[in-house]
Amino acid sequence: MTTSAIGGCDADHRVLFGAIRQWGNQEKRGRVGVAMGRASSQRVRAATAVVTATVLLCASTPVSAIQWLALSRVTALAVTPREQVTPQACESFHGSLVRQQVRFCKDNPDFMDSVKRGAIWAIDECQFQFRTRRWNCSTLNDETIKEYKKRMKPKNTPETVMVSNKTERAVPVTSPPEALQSVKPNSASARDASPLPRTSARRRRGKKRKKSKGKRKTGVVGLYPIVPQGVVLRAGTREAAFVHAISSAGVAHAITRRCSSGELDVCGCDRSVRGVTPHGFQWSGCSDNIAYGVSLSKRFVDARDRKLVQRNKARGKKVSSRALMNLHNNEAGRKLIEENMRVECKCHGVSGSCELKTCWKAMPTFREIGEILKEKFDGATEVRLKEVTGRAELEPNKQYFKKPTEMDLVYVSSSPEYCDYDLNSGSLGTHGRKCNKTSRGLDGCDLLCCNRGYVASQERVKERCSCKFHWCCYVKCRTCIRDVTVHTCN
Amino acid sequence: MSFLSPSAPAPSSVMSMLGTKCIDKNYKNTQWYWSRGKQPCKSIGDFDSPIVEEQMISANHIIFSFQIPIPKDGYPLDYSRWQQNLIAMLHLDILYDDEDEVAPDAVMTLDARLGYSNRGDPEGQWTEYASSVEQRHLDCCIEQKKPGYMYNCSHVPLFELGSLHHDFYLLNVRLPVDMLDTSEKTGMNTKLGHINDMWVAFIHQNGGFTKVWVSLKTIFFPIIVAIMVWFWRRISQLSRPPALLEYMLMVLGAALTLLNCPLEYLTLAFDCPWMTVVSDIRQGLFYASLLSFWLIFAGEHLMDDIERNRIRVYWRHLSAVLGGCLCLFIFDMCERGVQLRNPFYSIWATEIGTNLALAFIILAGVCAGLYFCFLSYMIWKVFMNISSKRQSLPAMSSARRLHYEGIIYRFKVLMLATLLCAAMTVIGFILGQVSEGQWTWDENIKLEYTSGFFTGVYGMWNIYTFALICLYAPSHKRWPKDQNTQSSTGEEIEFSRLATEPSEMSSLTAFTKKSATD
Repeated sequence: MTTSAIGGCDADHRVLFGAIRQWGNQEKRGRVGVAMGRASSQRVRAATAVVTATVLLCASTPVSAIQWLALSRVTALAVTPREQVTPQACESFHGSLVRQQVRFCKDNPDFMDSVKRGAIWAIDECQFQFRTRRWNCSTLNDETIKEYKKRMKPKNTPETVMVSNKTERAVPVTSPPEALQSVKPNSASARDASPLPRTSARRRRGKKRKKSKGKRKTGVVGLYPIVPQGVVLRAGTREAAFVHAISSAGVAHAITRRCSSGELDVCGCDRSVRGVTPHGFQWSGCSDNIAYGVSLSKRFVDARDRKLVQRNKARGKKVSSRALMNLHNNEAGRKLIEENMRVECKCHGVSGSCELKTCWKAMPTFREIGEILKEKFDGATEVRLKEVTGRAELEPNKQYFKKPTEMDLVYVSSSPEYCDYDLNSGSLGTHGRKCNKTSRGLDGCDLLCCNRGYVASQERVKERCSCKFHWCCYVKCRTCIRDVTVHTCN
Repeated sequence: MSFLSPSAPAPSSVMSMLGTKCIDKNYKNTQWYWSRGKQPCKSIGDFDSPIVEEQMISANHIIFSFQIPIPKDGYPLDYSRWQQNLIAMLHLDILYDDEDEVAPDAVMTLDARLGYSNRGDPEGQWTEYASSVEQRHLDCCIEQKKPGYMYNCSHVPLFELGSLHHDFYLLNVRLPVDMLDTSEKTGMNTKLGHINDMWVAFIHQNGGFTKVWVSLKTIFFPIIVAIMVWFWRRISQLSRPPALLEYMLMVLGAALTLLNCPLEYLTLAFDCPWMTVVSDIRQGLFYASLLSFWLIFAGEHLMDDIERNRIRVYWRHLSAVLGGCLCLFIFDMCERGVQLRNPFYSIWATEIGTNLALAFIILAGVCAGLYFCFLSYMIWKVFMNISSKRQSLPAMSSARRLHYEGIIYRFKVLMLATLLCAAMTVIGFILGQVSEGQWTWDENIKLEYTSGFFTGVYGMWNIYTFALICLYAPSHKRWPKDQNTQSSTGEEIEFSRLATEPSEMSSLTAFTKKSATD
């Protein structure tokens, strides 16, 4: 990518930070009216936003273990700390959630927005980490998939391109053919153009159920990453392993953070979810919030696969390797958070000596978790199912490989090439993706375009430059206009 | 003592809390901002929120609010007075931003207020406990300079409360910047980078630990007092004046009694912010008297025919102990003493303060080193003398020889006991440090080292002192009042012969005299 600045304009002008940091998500969600972190004034609006069952319903496709990630765009789960998710709302999630998860929702309505937040973080992080790979964690909902299938001719596949802007935060940008304006996966407008019109989001609750029944036929489901299913059965690939790990980590992270803010009074005090009395707090204090976040994430994220394993065991059937793999990877994601907590200590003995020392843990950023998981992704182990004294276990496919640890990712089937569009294997292809001409890595044009070649085109980009940040909330910037050469895969 | 330790929880626990970002365009430093309960403050989720833009919020309008304790399991928890103290450590989540890196010598200016409230108070009624504008050094580093990564910043001490008298506390912290319209620019809080969140870890002592600890004290307090009374009555029944070692034993007993005195009960009724300072002083006094006792104990056994038995002889050695203790005392008063007035004060916050504190600590360290040189030299000399004296043992009559061999044996046993106690303390200390510093996630093995170590060591030294006072008490039974007529060799031998339990010091001096006459 060659760049040439053709000059700055405007003298310093005060730009509010929020406006400048336009990278994706905050903004996008803001437009749908359910911004994470949009407070007070927006809250009222968000609160009136009625449960939009329509977004979630999925009667036609079997519920995949990560379909709950669709919660990331449920408008009803706006971040409204003082607004409860009603049991009816939980019921309406049935398309995306399995029964246990719906029960979790009813039991812990306060945590559902954390689950949603975790799902959003997970998807964002996944897309960031894989922005330069052939598989870039694109999310599509079932409707868009259908439209793809209908309109798609392999020649003009809509490309799902991830480019990073100045702040390196991923902004998924798509430049689809004109015919496909309404199915821009991943893009900001994709969320706008969601099948749910904004007006219906504000419809009164009474009408909701009827509406949802009406919509049920269309079988719309929320966004969740397209994960290749593998050629044989629905066997899990590396990518599936990553998505599972990051999403379970995302939920644990979000719940822990929420509990640490003290906004919820239902967070558990000790490691188990059971909790203790005020007397227990007086006697021995409380455990870290991460312990609680992890245990709740386990309950929610593992629900489907755990049920599957239990049911198969009870019926004496063979346990599916996919379920075991999912459980392992979910656990790996959570363990990674726990293991990467920063330990901080304070000495407070006699005269502040270290005779008495107290340590606690501080959470890593989610970016760090994503980065570590990416490494784990690259070093994931291929495993197969093996019955050891009546117990199903996963063991390395190759004998000389060492057994994966609790924190390693495992997969059971190898991934496709992701070069061409093939939804059945979960591949969107790399047609139309932007590539880096000079790079010899995975984002280089040769590798990313699968040697199909690429075209170069000139683009004029407006950018902010020479910025000075002022705590908390604004930056002084100049705007630069640059001409860049963009390379696009054929 | 250690039977109690398994049931005792860790000495302290931590409540790590994420600050709620309250916003108020008309910030007043008389107003409180809380995040729970009735009429919570207007808050934003993060600084990218559109509200910031809409309302032109600046740093001065942002108040980080911490309302502790955090409710759990649906209970609105409150602090108990059993929880004794509260320490707050502040931590900033600073994201890396290549346009705005954290300056290496960044100093943050905190405008902090601490308020309290009690059960039964009307909701939202907070009373100011302390407020201060403080400066703290921000010590941050980053390994990988990538956007989205967080700086690894050290926690900075925020405040310390010597007593946890009230039920609820509310901490409001601002990181103010220069007003745009003011002419004078101090440039405060401009080099802090891209602050995303503020965390405060609140450390409090565990109520369970306090209960176990105080009950230990309550048990040992009368026992040590009783044994001291008994000891002093024995001494006063003697016709001779008490020896130096006996005085030292009394001092040691007195220091331990002071330490044992369960003053902590007072905190249950009154607000005693001075409790930490007093505990520091009490503990320091006990250490000082124990260390002095060992010195004098060793000195009184140097069988080199020099008349000691006077405190003045030991001035050089004791000055090391006193010097060290004095340094630590001054340091303690500079830190915790000032904190009585302003809980947000920290001696480490300023350059001069840090140097001063370090100077005192280094001085105390030098004194400690000096002391150990003195002590080991003296003990080495005692052992040298014993072995040289032992060579003359075969020349003695068998009865006397057995007697003296027994004495030397017992002396060595007591030396060993002291060493063992010291070693156990050191090992326990290291174990405690390791178990606390290293975080093991294996939850199957849940052993509470720290509180076991504390209660164990505390009980051990109590028993040690108790045993010393018991064993060194002179007897009045075996030797009637006419002892003066019986002995002619002088005070030392009289004294030494008085012991029923042949105390090492006295018997050994007797032994030296005897071997000299032999």
